Amino acid sequence: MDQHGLVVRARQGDRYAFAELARVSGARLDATARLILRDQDLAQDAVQETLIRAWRSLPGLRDPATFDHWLHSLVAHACIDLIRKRRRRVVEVELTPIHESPTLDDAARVVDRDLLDRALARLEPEARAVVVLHFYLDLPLPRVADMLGIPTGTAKSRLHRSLATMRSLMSIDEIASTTTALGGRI
Amino acid sequence: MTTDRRLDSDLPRILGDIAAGPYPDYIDDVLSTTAQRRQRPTWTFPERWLPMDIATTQVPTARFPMRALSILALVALLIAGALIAYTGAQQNPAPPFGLAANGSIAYSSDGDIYTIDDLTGQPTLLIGGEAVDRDPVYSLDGLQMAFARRVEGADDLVVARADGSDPTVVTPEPLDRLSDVTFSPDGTKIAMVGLHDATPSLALVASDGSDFRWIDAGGVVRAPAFLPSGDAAVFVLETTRGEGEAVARLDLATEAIDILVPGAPTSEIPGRVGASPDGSRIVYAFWVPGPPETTSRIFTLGFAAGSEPVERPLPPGTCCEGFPVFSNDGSRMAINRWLDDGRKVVAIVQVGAAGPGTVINADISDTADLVWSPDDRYVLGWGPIGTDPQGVQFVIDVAAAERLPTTWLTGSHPAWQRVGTGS
Repeated sequence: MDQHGLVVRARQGDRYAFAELARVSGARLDATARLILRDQDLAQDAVQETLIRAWRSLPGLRDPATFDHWLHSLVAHACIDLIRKRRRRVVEVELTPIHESPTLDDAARVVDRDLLDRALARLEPEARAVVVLHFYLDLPLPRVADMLGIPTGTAKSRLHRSLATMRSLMSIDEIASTTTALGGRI
Repeated sequence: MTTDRRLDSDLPRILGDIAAGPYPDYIDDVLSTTAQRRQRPTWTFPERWLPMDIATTQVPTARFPMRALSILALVALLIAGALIAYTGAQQNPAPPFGLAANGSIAYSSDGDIYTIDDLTGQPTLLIGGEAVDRDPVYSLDGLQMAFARRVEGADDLVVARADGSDPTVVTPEPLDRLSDVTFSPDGTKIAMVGLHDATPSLALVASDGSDFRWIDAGGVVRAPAFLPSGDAAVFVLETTRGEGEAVARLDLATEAIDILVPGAPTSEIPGRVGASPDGSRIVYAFWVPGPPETTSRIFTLGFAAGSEPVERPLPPGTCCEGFPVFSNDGSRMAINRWLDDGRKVVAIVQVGAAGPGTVINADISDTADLVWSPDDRYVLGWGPIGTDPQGVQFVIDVAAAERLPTTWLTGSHPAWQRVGTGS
């Protein structure tokens, strides 16, 4: 059965249909939450909260075709809610993939990923959410703004500043790495 | 290594690498927990018929402690002394630009349109019913109101009298992502943005529904604004990917478009483009790339031949300024300001003058959409307050330089009716 049919059935109380939807979306939700929250345990909490909210609120979903958008919105909000509840910056941890991609043998790609990972970790969570939703989930900024409940201009501003901050941080880290590699001399 | 130019294009791949991992094995446990919960019955979801963004966000519940009485009193004081906003044929039309009397504040909440009048400060339901209505906008003479009405996942544009009577659908068919509605100075036309061929595009519609046309601007459009002359409109335009946002002008007679302020790669214009009440210049904000770092600054540009953008210097301790709005008398601007210490404030600055101006700590956690009251005594804003991401409206008393609380909660942009003062 296609997703539309599953959503319609789940909306009517079919737990098996919902389970199928959850399994299909689970990896993506988990990855999104980990990118935003930078903490595997928190990400699990966010995904759990997302799926519980999704099940409970699914009868209120007007258009089944918008299920993915709606679900992504729920996980974004669950992440932001968790951040606020904790009232402190989440522990910034690097997310090392367990299964290495064959292309990671490329040294330059590994460095890029590590630089960006560190730069991403140093963004404010709300700004990081914009970056993740726009670049990882490939959502246009007006939709990202809708999901986060902020004006589109605000989302644009956050994205622009985040990218500028990341570029700056990556440049600093890159110079530091190069300096270290050269024994402290530039 | 990833260069500046490649960061945008490399981010999706690198984020995927960072996030890659095994299938989360806790999903089945979560589903077991979920299975023990009941779904909410369908009848408990009035938002089943509301836009998805409202359905998936949490609306803060209005609290009604004893201070509600003092808040009502403040709102009554706020607009005390202004004329009563009579609607219909009896109302005196306001001039489209310049100072006017304060009429009602209109807003949308839970699919209905409300107004706050100047007598009681109590909200009055203006347009209710089962239809989901949002984002009311007044015409500049204060006699009409336009708003979006949800229809099967898209929006009709409805124009009514300012008292809510005679609502008329003026769009030939529902539009996806209808936004940025604004009346022409004479009230006969409306500019707005909607999805056309999957691109946010500019549309012009007659306020009586007699004409509708899409404008081919060659890119993504937002925030149109008519010039006081009524013969042109300015808007933000992003032509093609990577060329950034630019300020464009549309000649309404010929539909020719010229670029007033060219974009640059990754350029952005925080907020809207505003025209001065005398029509002599526009104001906008523009991200200026560093070093030392990228900032947002406010520029004015005259329409005289040979004019160049004039940059407003950033005051000390300021990272960025943006979202500028001219006062009705053209002498000041209300702006958003981001400080180096991370705070965001609203500032009232004199046009053409440097310096910090009057700073109001409106407790905004991010950018705020601002409009001046017709008499320039207040600024009505909409934006996130504190840690609440949903956005609320707030009122700034300009002379007192303080934010006044409001009694209403809404996600709609600020709209303050202009009322004529003549007989």
